Amino acid sequence: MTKDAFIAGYVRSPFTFARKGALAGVRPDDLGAHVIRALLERTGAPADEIEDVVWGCAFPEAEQGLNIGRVVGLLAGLPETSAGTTVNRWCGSSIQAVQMAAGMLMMNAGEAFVAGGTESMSRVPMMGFNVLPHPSWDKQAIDDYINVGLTAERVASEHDVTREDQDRFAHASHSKARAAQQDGRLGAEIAPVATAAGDVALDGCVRETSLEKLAELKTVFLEDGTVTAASSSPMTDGATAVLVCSKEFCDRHGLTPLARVESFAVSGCAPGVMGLGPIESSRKALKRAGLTIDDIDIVEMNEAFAAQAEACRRALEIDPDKLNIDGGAIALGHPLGATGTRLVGKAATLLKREGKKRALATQCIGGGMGIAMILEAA
Amino acid sequence: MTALGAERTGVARAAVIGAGSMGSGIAAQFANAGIPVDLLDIPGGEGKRNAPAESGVARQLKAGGFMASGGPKLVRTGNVEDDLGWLAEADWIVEAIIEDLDLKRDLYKRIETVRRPGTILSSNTSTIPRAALIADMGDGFAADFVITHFFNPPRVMQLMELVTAPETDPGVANRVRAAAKAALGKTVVDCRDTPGFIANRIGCFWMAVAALEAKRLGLSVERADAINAAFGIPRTGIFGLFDLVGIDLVPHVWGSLLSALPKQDDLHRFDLPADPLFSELVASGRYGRKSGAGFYRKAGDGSREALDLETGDYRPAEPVAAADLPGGGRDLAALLADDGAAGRYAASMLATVVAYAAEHAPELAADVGAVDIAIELGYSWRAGPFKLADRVGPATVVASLETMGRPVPALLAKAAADGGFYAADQVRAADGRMTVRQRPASLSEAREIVGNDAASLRDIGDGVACFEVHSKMNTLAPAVFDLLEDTLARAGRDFDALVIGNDDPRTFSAGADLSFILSLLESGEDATLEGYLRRGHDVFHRVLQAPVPVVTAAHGLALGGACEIALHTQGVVAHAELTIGLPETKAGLIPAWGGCTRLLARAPGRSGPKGPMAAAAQCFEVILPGRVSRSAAEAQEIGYLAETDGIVMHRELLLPEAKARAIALRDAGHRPPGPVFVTVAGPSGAKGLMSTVTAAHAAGRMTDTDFMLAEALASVLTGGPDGDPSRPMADRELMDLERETLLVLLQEPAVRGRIDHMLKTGKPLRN
Repeated sequence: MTKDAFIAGYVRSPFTFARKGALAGVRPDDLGAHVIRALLERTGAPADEIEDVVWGCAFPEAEQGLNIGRVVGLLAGLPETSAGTTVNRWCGSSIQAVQMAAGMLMMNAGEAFVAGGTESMSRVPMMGFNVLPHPSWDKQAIDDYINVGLTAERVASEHDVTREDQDRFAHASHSKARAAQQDGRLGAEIAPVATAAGDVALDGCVRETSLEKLAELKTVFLEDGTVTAASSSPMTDGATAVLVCSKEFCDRHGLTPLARVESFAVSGCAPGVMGLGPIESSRKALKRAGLTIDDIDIVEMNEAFAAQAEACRRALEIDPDKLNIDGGAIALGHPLGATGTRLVGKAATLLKREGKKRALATQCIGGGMGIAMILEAA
Repeated sequence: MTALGAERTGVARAAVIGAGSMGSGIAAQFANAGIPVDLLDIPGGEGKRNAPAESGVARQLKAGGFMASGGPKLVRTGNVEDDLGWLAEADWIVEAIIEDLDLKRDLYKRIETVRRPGTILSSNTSTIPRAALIADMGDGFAADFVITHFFNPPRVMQLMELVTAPETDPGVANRVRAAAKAALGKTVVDCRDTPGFIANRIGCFWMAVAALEAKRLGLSVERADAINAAFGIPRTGIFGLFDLVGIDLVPHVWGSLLSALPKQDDLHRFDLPADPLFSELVASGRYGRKSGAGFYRKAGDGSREALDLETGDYRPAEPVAAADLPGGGRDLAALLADDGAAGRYAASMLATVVAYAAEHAPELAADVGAVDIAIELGYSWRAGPFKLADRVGPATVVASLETMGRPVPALLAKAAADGGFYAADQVRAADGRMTVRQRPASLSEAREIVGNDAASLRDIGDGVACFEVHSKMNTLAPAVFDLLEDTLARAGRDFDALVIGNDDPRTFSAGADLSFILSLLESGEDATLEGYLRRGHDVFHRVLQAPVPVVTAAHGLALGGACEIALHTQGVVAHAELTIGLPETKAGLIPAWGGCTRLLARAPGRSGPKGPMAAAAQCFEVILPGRVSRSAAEAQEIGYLAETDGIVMHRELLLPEAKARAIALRDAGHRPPGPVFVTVAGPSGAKGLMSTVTAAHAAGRMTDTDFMLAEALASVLTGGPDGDPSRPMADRELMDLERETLLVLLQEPAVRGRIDHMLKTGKPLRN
């Protein structure tokens, strides 16, 4: 017997710059527990019916270790009877978390799940504290796997995404995010975090900028390259959570589902062009749902780099007006293991807000992978 | 940690009132010694009551007043309305508010309501006499009140002028002297209660004479600056100094000094505020560096321009090299004998300043030595006026004065007739007689047990010996190793504790002898080169395993091999202003006398995440950029010094405290550490380390040579090709790897290019 899985709530913390941002002093497990508490408060879902906490984290060690999926549930005050697990698919960890929750639900292994993710890039560095790649890998293999900035340069040059294209993409992301922030369109999804220095309620990475300013920036990964700090997503701290549950659960507790999980896919590609991952995973997910890109009204695609996001947009023929309408990771930030749930949660929320039918959430993953999920408005 | 010796001064907590550049700088210096300090200023606006004091801390953070990143944590900021009660906790209260007698006296009356009797209260006034400050304040106040005049910036300037009076409580005076030295690192010069005390009185007079005589005699600003530099004042020269301190100070500083001095004082002949040139510069806002123009300015194209003192216009600067001066900038007698404008200027300036100093020395201090020290430490002259007079001969100065038709002061006449202001261990007192000269003990006075051209082993008493390097820049030439090997063979027989240190004013040691290394490379003497590297490695390891405790007394520059010696000793006592580090990569090298090994062996003891990579990554981040500390406290943060190593604030305390540390280690029952094993991450870890720098290489922030050095260093820090986290490596094995890796690097032309460039220019080559 299979069931449908629904997204029935979405909450995130503000996203702020790693190290210099307002959340740098907050532990990633506290941040995770905070969004879980807020999710349950806002949806009214009973904590004692949560089967499992499925939690994404790209570098699950130190403060993000000890099976953080279990830790955040306990810290959030969930009953001890709710389980917790950690999911690692690097940047794709928390779309994967949503899929795992939905997958369990669909095979009738539970009715309500908290899926989400946390990453404190302030407190656990990207690649972790003990980087020990296999000694048989040569420099190129290590660069392709670890130095994702260089893979963005390769995608830019192989797919003809110029510096100007990237600057325009980055400028659009910041402009959309700033407008959304000023109109209060981001506030609804954010659960402010209390810190010693006061409440943090706003995303910290969004900037007012201009094409002229962006054009002046130096490249950061390759001399004579095209990728700048502004056309890359910043190192970010943040946590996100969605409620994944059955229709019956919603009905029983008076919850309003936002969207139904329609299809899902992961795919692999060469690690050196990891940014192209969304192309194949999105195509697979569309095919599994029996759809084409024209059937999609809302696209939430992660902007690890403008270079790869623009290359994927072109390959998938995504209408720019449907893409990341409240801004993307270049402006909002990319707390690795938390981003996927933001994309799914945001896409589900936008379907409701914009009155649309279908949405695609997709992202690229270091090491050469893509991940995609298609949602249908509930 | 509190600076060594500071805990014995009786000042456990301090307070500073007034958070301007002086007050906040003095507070920062207390914090630098590990002494908690309250910094109070007037209250700020609503909700920001402590803003003025907080901005003082921010100013010191920006200006480099703090030696360690944790320094500001020791400064509690407050304001004199809400927090005056804090003063009851202080053992020394320093007043450093603006120079306004009424404001100061009002403040003192308020302080008296909270101050514990016997607490030191001092003013940092530079112009107001002590007598005026204490009038009507009561006997208890007068007994505890002294003037402690610091110089700007307080971290850097070593002078503190102290004005006491017969009614001063001797306990208070003693505590001030002890704390000024051990906690604040200052050399105390006792002054009488006269306007400007010593340094500003003589220093301001010199500046006025040097500027106005240059104008009168028609010298260019560049030429006058070069002549002053030849006398051993700082390289800025006189006009460059005005630009640095700010010409806008002239009406205030010289004005207040002039108004405080009687009309017959010679400063009135050189009335700087009344001079049209200075008035014009002040009126037109040309204050010097802070306003972008003064006696010098930068032209639109970035070139330097100088002010023509006659026309008042700017023209392209024409730098005057010392070699172009009569006497080549070294021979002062030849300069003074020159019959051109340069010679007349030099002679007039020197004679006028020495005469002024000799005329007033009796009213300023107990002896002329105090005047010289005040000028040397307060105005950064290499030698004060009396030492300069002795250098050219007091009779020469007298002759200049007679030529100029100026009177010869009695003290100068006496010195000219009697062989000078100084004799071996004596100095001329205010009354003209010779008296004992107070000088810190010199290492050269200690008996030499054995020695050669490059180093000496000296007996410094109590069973402790001192190994002193005295080669050029105190580099570790082969002869240094000769004696160090001999020294270690004598350990336990000729001495039972050892200090490695020296008296050099600036350099502990510049490390390995690079020119020797390069000469061996050029002549292809690979075996000798390997022998030199192996020898350092062996002897340093023997220091580590020595049967007696070895303590490093580190100061000034301690680079490369010098840092590696310190890392092999059982303890370090460091002067607070220590520049220590492993900058080898800048010369194309990696540390190979155990620097990598010892830093790696020590790293796990420091805080932070664990795992095989934590120590390697920490060392990689320090050694690859060649990090060098800007203070001993920062060296502890970086890891070159251990948390248990001691810091002294005053250089004179360094060798005594190092000796005391060596004795303490001996008396506690020293045992050599025995075999040391280090966990290494292996080849996989090397790849992990390199993954952190490949992007920087691709982005052009690292050159190919940088990258090659990074690979070599990453390999050493992870135990080389055979490294394995499950098999800790013996330190000797790791040291062998350092040396073998360096020998391979030394065959690279790019590496030789770096060494050659470093030797020729003293600067790193980025090839």
